Amino acid sequence: MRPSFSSRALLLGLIPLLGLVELALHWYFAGRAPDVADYAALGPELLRLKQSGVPVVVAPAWAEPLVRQAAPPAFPASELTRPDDSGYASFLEVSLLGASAPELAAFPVQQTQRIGPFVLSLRQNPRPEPVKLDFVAAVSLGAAEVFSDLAGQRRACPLTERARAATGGLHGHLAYPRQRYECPGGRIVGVSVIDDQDYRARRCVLTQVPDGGSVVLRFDSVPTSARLVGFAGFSYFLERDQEADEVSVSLSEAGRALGEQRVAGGRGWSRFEVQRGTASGAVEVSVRKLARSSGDVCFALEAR
Amino acid sequence: MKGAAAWLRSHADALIAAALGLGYCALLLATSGSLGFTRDEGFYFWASRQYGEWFALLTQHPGEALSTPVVDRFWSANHEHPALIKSLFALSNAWFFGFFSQMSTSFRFPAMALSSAAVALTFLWGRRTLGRAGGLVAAASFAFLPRVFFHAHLACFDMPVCAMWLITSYAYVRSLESPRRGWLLGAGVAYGLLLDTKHNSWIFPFAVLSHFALTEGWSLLRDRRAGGGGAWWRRLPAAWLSMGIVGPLLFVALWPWLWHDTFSRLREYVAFHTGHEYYNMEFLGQTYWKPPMPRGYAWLMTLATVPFVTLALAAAGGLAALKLPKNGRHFVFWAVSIAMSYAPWLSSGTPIFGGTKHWLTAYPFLCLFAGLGFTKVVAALRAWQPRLPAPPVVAFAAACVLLGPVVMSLHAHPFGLSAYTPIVGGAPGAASLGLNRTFWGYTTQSLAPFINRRAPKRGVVYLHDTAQQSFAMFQEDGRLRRDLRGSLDIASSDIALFHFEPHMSRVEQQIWVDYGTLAPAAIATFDGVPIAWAYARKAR
Repeated sequence: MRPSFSSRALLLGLIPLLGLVELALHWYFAGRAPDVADYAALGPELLRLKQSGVPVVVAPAWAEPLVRQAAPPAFPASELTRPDDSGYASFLEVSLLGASAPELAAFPVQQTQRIGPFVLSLRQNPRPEPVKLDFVAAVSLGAAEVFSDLAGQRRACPLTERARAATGGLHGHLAYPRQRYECPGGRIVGVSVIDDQDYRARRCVLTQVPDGGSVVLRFDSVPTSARLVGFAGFSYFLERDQEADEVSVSLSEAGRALGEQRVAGGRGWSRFEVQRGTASGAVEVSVRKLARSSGDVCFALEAR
Repeated sequence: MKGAAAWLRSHADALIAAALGLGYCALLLATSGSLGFTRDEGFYFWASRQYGEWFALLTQHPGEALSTPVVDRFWSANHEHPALIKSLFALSNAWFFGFFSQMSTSFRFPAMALSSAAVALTFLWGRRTLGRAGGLVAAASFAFLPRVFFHAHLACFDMPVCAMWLITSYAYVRSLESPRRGWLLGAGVAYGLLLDTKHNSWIFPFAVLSHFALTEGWSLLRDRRAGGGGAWWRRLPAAWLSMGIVGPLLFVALWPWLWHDTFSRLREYVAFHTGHEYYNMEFLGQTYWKPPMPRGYAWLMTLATVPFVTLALAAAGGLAALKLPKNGRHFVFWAVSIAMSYAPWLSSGTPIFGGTKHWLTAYPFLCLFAGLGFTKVVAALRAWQPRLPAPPVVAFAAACVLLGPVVMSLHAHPFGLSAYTPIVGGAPGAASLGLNRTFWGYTTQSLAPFINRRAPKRGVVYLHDTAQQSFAMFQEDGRLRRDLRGSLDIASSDIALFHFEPHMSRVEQQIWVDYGTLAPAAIATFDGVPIAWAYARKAR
């Protein structure tokens, strides 16, 4: 229906009012988020409620640095940069502005507590997959043997505690840690962090593979479990245009092949799993290059 | 006394325009010291210094300065962008440095002056077509668009090209109305300066052609059909000739890089911008780094960053313009300028990395329509309350529609690129929606007090997205300690900065590994949203 002159005039006359409403809304939104004092007050309470093995998730995610600053011990690296959520039985969600974490939407709330402008909720994973061994943690503890394998010749890569750390910046390589295994040809194996397809941090074993050869990580005393769950990828920012397979990650136990995963940068942080057999023994992870130009591949592995 | 009053009355609009321009420039100067330096400013500071050295050489040894190797040596700096604005930065630095307390202001001043001139001209154009109140609301709405207020401070080309587009448009439209040759020549000169400002100028001819087609095309066609279009070419605007000849000549004359090897360098210039790299940009939670780019980007970002009251006024003005035969030529030019400024983003192949700055050229015209809308609002209010005198109605309505934009713009300082309007929930709402929080690394300014306090003597600061030349200007201005060293190597640094953009998260992750901590030592927030933060290394 065509508006009459008076209704058009009314709409025009409402525009100044709209200006005042917008100004009021501006002040409302500008002052809505918690301030420094709120986060400072949250810190001790969060640490009191935080249990080991229960990762803290902040919603909305943009507020996470503020919570990290207020309560650093609430964010152990292994939890903040976990390979995925399925290995954890519960999560402590810190919510502000009424937000909730989309990744926890399917996890029922067990307890809720309000602290100032924050709501802390303990959320239960209905189907957790308990982790019996975190291979990344094993590497960080030096509990792996690492070899460079060229034409069937294995050479040990010794563990170094205080190598020279290096970082590549935005367009450069991953962070090379001080503690790492040093292989022939200047290649290294060590625990670092990569960005996944959402640019989230994933803690993993950085592996530099020689052309025409492979790097083998050997883990003794792996507890029995039904399967090995793995994750692998490259820095997504660096290799997101690579669609072809770049690296192969093969798993074996007691000399028996368990499976292989091919990794391409464009696929991001990818999950894979293999069933373990009855024969238990040393688990070996063999990483082999499929494309010459591939960068630093990074993987995580868990016995579940 | 009577004479003075009469003079004031007859020059009132010129005086208002001057007051608007000078007032805006004063506001920009007063707030420049608290606004950090963007990446691009760092590159332009450096290039301007090269050009400044050449100007000095030109005055002392003109023969040497004009020789090919010397021209190429100085003008190869940042030759992917035309020279006019950087030349102005260089000359301003040479002439006005002593007038400002900070070195950076002398470089930024020409862009501030041009931005202020654009505000003044918006008023004058509005005054001419809409009346004084409409012109004032148009100018103030433009000046206090939060993103415009941010960009108007910078030693960059985005506001200068917005100003030059407006100036060229005004000269062109006046040349269509006035028999005076000054407007014809002025249009040509202005277009030459526009060409030498930024490559948005390449789109301007399409605005002119569209305007001609929409205003004259139909009658030309009708006359041709009736057999009366023999000398049709006589009806083409004479300014086209001026713009087609004076424009390019002036463009080349003012850009010494083009004095030698002109055509291959022109080809290189065009190729650089038509094949520009796709930098990363976050939009609705997704990072775009290659085509297809989201077609809704320009529209949604405009909606999210331009005060809604300004958009509502502009919409009202746009609708009213359809029914107003008077000043139709002006309104059509405003409309085609808006359309042409946004046109590149109809293609999903156009990069979006610069956010709203790419289409700033549309904003004076959008605000002129807002001025027209305002006149309709006043008319509606007066029709509703005819007994009220006009001045208080105009003042009240103007206050209602301008207070919000003014408050939002001033509140956003110095986080202009983080500013979003209430329609998306302000900065927190935009962050939750996944709209870009910041880029260009200028927010180092907000961390400067922490850096100065916390960095060890002769410490190294990892700069992340701040350009080395911008860091140097922070130090030259005395905003950062001079004993500090800026570095792009995290591993050698004592303090590491992180300017948030999702695709740059890997930088923060490297800091975590190298520094052995996940806890920021300082966070710069805007309306409670983290924008940039810093890590401090524990003692080595």
